[in-house]
Amino acid sequence: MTTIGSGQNTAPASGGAGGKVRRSHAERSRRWFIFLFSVPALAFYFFFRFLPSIMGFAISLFNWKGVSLNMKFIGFDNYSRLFQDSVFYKALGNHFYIYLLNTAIVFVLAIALAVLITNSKLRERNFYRIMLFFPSVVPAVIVNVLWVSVYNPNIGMLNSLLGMLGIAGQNWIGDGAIVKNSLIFVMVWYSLGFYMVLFMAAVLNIPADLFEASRIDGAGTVRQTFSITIPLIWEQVRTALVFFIVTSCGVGFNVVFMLTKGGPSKASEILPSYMYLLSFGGQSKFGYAMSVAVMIMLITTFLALLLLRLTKRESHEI
Amino acid sequence: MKKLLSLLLCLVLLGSVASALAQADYTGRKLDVLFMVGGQGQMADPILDKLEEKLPGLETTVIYDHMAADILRNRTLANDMPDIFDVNQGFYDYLSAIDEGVVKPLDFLYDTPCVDDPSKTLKDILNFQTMNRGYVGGKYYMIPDTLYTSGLWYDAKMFRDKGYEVPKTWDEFVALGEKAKADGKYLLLYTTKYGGEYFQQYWFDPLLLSLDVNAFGDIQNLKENAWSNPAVRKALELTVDLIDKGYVDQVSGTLDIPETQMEFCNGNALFYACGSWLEAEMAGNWPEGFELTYLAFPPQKEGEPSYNVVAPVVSAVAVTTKNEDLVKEYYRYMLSDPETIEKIIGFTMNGLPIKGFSEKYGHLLPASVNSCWQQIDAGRVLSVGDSMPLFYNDCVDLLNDLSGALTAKTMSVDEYIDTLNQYFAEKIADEDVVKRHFDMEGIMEALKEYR
Repeated sequence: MTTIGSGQNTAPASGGAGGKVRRSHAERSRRWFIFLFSVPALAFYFFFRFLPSIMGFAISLFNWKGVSLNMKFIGFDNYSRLFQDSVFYKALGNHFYIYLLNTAIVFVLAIALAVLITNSKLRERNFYRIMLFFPSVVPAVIVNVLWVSVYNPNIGMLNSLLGMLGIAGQNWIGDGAIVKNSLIFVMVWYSLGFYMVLFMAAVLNIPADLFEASRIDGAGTVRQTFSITIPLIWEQVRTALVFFIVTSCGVGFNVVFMLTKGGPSKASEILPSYMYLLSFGGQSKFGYAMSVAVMIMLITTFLALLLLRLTKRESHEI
Repeated sequence: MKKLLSLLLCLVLLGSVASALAQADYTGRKLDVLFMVGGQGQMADPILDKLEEKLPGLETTVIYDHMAADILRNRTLANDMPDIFDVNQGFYDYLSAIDEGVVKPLDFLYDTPCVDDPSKTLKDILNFQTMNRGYVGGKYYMIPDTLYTSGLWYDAKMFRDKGYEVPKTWDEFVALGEKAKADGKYLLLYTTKYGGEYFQQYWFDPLLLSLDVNAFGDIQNLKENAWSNPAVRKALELTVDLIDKGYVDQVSGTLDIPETQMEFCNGNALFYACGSWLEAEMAGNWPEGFELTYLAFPPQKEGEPSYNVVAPVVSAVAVTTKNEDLVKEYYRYMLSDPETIEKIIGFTMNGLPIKGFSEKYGHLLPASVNSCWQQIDAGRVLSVGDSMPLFYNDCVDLLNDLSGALTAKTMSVDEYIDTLNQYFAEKIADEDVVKRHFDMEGIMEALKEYR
């Protein structure tokens, strides 16, 4: 039986005193069991996620060049300097532009393609699925080498194709006016397949009789998508959204670093690439770079929480 | 007979003991070297092989890694620095490391006798003019493992075939532009996009030096409004003049370094402003018959010196090293053992900081690189190191963007000058920025000798 509606507590009512004792003993064992099995993951999380974040924040309070243990405590100076740094603001603007547009395009397209491919009676649907998923399994370095060649203004595939159609080519990653959009295209191409497959799995989980019943009631594909498919995969979409927000920083950095290194004239500089430039890129401003890292963490956390709140709606269980 | 045998036996035993004692000296000793993977290949191998051969029992370890700078930082924090490290200056702030006492001054090396001529020491043979990048507070800290030198490169065969004259002065150079244009070629090619310091060091610097050496010094020393110097303006205007006349291959503004170099390999430009790695880096891409040849940067007047920029890949010694004697041996073989040097050049195809390098080892270099070294050693070309990108490393991106904009004609000379003056003003006002001193004495001394 399929239930649509808010989840209900299906636990049996409490029994007598003897039952209580038995349950509390079982409950204690269960809690120990959960605790024991959680310890490795929690320890991993603590040492490799939480502790580095705290250390990153601590380092941001120092002037540190990263070449020795000489560190000078400067309090929040790095942050006050950050808020006067024009490159930081440029990178912040680019960061929001690239990530918000990338997120919107990936999720709209991934949901649309998941619905189309699962509902389609096309015999080639497995082919499309593989073709769209393929970029997600290609190593980032290869993806970027590939796109450098595609975008090459002189011998690149894209300009050659446009030339065949009589359209003038562009300097896709060398022109500050279009470079961000060129990068977004690569990021969408890279991420789309993964999220499409994720949503396809969710769509395939929806019982067919729901679609059958709605079809009998006269609902078309569009109505089914908005009234059945999207509401029933909404929880997966929300989870994927948070995952996407958190991981897209890494993807964005790879693409920017390999294709443009933040150029031309900082036109594609984003916060992670700026952080890299300040620290490992040779400038040796590790303390200052950590303040950028802390800002990235705060922005990402804020965006993830905001999206969770904005996308919160009544959950539907199948 | 018995006595003779006993004597022989004693001698053998004594020899064995002496040999064992000699070997024991280095048993358990380790020399630890860290190298960044780059154009110089695995150049530490022949030196370390030689040390293991000459110092029995010695164990050497070398790491070649693209992320050598990160490894070095981590090992420094863990108090486990390698004895010798050579990591890219673009990824590791050597000068800060020197300021913070992580790098050992090289004084301790100077009295080391040379392998090929023990009457000389390393101090006698080192070419200190090529080491000015690591000259801090009156001491040298960095030793070039490979010395690349800049110049204008051309195809001598094309010049013969087309009847072009090799220019001896700036005016002759410019005059060649019209002939090149008539043949559907550009006079000049340089790298801007992704080029980092290419435009500045291999085109602008030699041109500026040919106009006014002191203007170059003012830039290196972060002098206020240094970019407003008339010589700087003239150097930029001469460049823009070439661009306006259509002599500069502007496609370089959209290509990365190897692509730009391919443009030159394909014969689309007469001259390419670049470093001496060009021949080795583009191996396999040169068309048949291409005769890559070095041209010293044409001076404004005949008889004036030519200038070029040396770009060293440097190594340094950790202050924590407990192997001073082994480090001495390392550099002794690197700089004065002909057999080891031949193998090193086999990897690097470029120079070492040794006086009279071309005379001793020029025959081992590619012809184009050797012709450059011959002119340096003969004193016809004065080599200078541009330290600005090392002193203020965030300028590299800025210079890259500005040179691209100037070449694409989207920025005027005035805007170029104003932007860099503004950048200098910010650096001067920033208390956190260490104001480095560029030592002009070496250049002025060389200039005096030349004249």
